[in-house]
Amino acid sequence: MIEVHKVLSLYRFQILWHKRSMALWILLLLTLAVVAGIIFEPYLLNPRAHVSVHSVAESLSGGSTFVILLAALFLGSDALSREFQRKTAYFLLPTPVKRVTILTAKFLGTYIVSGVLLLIYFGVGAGYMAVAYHAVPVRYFASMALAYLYLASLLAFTYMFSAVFDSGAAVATLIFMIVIFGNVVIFLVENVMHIEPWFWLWYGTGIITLVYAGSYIGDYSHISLGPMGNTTYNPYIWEGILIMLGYFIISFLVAAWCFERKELR
Amino acid sequence: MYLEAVNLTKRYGKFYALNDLNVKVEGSKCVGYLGPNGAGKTTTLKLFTSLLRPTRGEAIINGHSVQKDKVQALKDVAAVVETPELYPTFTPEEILQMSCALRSVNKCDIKHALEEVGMYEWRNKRVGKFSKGMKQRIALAAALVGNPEILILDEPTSGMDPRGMAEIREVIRNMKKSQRLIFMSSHLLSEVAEVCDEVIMIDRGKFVLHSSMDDVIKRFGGNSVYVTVLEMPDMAKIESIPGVKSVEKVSENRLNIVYEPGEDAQYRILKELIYAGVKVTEYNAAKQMLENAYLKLIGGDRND
Repeated sequence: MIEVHKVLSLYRFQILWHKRSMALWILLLLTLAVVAGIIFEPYLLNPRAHVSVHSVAESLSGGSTFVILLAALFLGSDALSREFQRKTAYFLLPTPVKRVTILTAKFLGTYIVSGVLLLIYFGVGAGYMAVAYHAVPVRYFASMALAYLYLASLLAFTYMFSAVFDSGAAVATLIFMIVIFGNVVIFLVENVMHIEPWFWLWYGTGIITLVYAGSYIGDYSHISLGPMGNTTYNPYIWEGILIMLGYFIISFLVAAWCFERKELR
Repeated sequence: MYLEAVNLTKRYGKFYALNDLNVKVEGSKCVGYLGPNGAGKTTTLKLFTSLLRPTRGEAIINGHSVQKDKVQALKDVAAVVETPELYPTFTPEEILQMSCALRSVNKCDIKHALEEVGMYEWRNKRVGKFSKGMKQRIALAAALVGNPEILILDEPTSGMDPRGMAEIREVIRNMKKSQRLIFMSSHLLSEVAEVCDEVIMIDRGKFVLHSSMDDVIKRFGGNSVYVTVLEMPDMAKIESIPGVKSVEKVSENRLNIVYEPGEDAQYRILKELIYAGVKVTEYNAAKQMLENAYLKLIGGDRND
């Protein structure tokens, strides 16, 4: 079992670690660049275009998934591997604390720091909509809540690899490859084999923007394009939540198991 | 307070890093853990601190198995294994706060711990730019801050300059005063002889010897003492000292004196040497005896 009181006294050191790292400040700049890009992009492409608040909110929600990916790559990928690579594990591990407790405290620290960045992202977006449109769609906040769930699941997924590999760079590369190539493979699975990819995290994260669909389109849509056609599956909200929760729980348990068994030879 | 290895074994493929180690160290003392490179010293310490999992057997601390109940086993233990790297952006004060949090220490006397290792004035500087010796001292302070009963130290002076080594040895001597069990691996025989009360030797992963330093001197030293002098004296003059059986010149400024049994004789010989005007710079039985024991049991074909 996790020692909760120890988690609560240890997570702040993970926050301190992130606070003093260059990666966090680069990530903050990137986050602000992404939100600024999404806000100003329509004006730059077509200065006279009228963009609805609904559309801005949806774009911002879509952009949040990119910020979450960056947070996982920058903050999560070396969270555990660095302890082994830089030998700080020799200080951290021979102590009367269960490894799962250390893992939880580190995860909590990273989640809080990433969560603050996400809050800045959504906050700037909400501020812009409040000033420019005098309104912030309610679904924007629903999308934000789902983004936090995605953050938890992707961070746990990253921590899982970080518990296995000794190099944060290797973990970041692997996650990036999984996202890029995995999505291509899943697209083919979806369209050619007509299988709903309920096992794929990034399929579930579709609900972050699908919450804006007025008449919710349901399970899948099929467009006939020649002999094969094109089938796009869409998760229901509950499906997306279950997929993300499932990824979070399974990844965290696997991370804990790997971290527990990791030896310092 | 005790540490006990029960059939402790660590195997990598066909290679035994540690093979059926059975040893128990108990009470307030310093125990030196000796062996050549690759003998299994660090492996043993890692098994006692849960950094490695044994292939077979158990590491037990104060009645708790490290493998089955790490939290209870390491409750009163602090370890400095393989000169740990510290978080470079943290200050010594923050490192010690973290150590307190890891050990659930309520009363965390960071000031005292840093003063004990002579690092208090550096408390607010980031450790990233500290020398190896300074980091080692911070690691020792982090170990001391919870006032642990048992200290496990892995070659605490490894890679340090002579001044740093002397400082760390002084810190360890001070640690001994506070009723602790110190289990220390070292590749420096003189260091173990100087600081420790007992010695354990292993070779190729196997137990060789566990004995008190006095026993080692009795068993392996016989009745001889090594004397270092500034100028080589007249050998006949030394042979004429009552109790001296023989004198042998072992190097330009070193003699080996064999004497009649008893510590009295050892004292009498030193007194007579000084009285006879021999310029003695070193007169130490223990260090040499440990070396004799080491060479006899483990062999002189390898270093340390």
